[in-house]
Amino acid sequence: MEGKHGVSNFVSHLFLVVILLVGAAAFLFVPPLPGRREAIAAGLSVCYFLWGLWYHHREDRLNIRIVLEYLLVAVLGAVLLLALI
Amino acid sequence: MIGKLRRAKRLFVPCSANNYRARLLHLPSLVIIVSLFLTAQTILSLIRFTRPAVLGYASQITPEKIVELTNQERVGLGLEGLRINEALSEAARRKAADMFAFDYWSHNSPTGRDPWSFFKEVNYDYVYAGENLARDFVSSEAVVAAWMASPTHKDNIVNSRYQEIGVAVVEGELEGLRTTLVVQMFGSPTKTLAKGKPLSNLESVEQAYASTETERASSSTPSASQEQSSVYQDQPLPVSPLLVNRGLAIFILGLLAGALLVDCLIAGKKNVRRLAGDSWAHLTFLVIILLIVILSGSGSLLESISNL
Repeated sequence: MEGKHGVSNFVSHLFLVVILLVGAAAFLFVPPLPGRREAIAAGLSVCYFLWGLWYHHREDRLNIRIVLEYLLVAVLGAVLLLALI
Repeated sequence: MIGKLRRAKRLFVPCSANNYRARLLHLPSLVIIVSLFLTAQTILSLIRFTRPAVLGYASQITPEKIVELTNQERVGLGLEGLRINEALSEAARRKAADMFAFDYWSHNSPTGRDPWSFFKEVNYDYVYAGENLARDFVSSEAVVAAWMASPTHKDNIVNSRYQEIGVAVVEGELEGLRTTLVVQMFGSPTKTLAKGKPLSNLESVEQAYASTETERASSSTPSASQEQSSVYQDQPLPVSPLLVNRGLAIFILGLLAGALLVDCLIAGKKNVRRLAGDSWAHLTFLVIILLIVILSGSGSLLESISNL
């Protein structure tokens, strides 16, 4: 049972890493046309926030503090990226 | 001293005093960090508009290098190199001057002028014409690489219908930021034979350099762009807003990533169960953001325009 949970946990994190790497590649390699990088930065942060909600909901540990924590980390990431544009 | 060390420990290391979660990762701390960064951004924006020319991008872009790289891309695809047309270069310079004078970042001026009016102004009669724009880049290579990565700009650069090119690289203040504008104009003249012979890459570069220098020296009525360029010659190099933001971002991300790594290691070792987000996930997200911050470059483009 514990082993199954470990594998599922690993797959969830791997899924997150793939999403983030795709977003990073998109941010770095798309031509810097108006709106594109902004959209990617926002998309990356929204994906992270939603992943956090999904992951903790699946673990049955979703709580308002956790939601706020993911929201703040996602906003911080978006703000840092938007400042580069 | 010991009290300060304890406070620092509570800030970065999970222990019973901070409920086994570094204080830096608590919600109020995250709110403070986001607020401080936004405040820093506001201050930078104020500097941008109250003390223009302090922030900006110092570049090493030259028209001759842009032409050389453009022709390299064309020759690499089996196309003929474009020959420099002085009327097109003048049209590009006038376009850049107009953008600085009316403070706009667009193909069309707020006064209603479109790119083609600059072609007409210098009496360049064309069959086909196009325009690429770029700003805030620091090197010619970065400009051409960004254009080549954009399908519409690439279409202009490697279009077999174009025969001539004109490039202007002009420094000035745009939207409160000292910047370098690159205007690249393409054309196919109606009277092909009257416009001179095609040049090799090297000849193109030499001609572009010579003509640019001649025009700067002989012009009795300098354009707005030339005036702005001479204003900046005596000023110190501007501080790049990208470098300021990058420095701030690396500091914040480094601090949080460090605290998260310590949190992951200690909480994992002690097998602490807390009502908090997943530290490994936060760490992964922030490290990816850090990588983007380190690897991303400056510069922006506008969608290219042509009459094809």
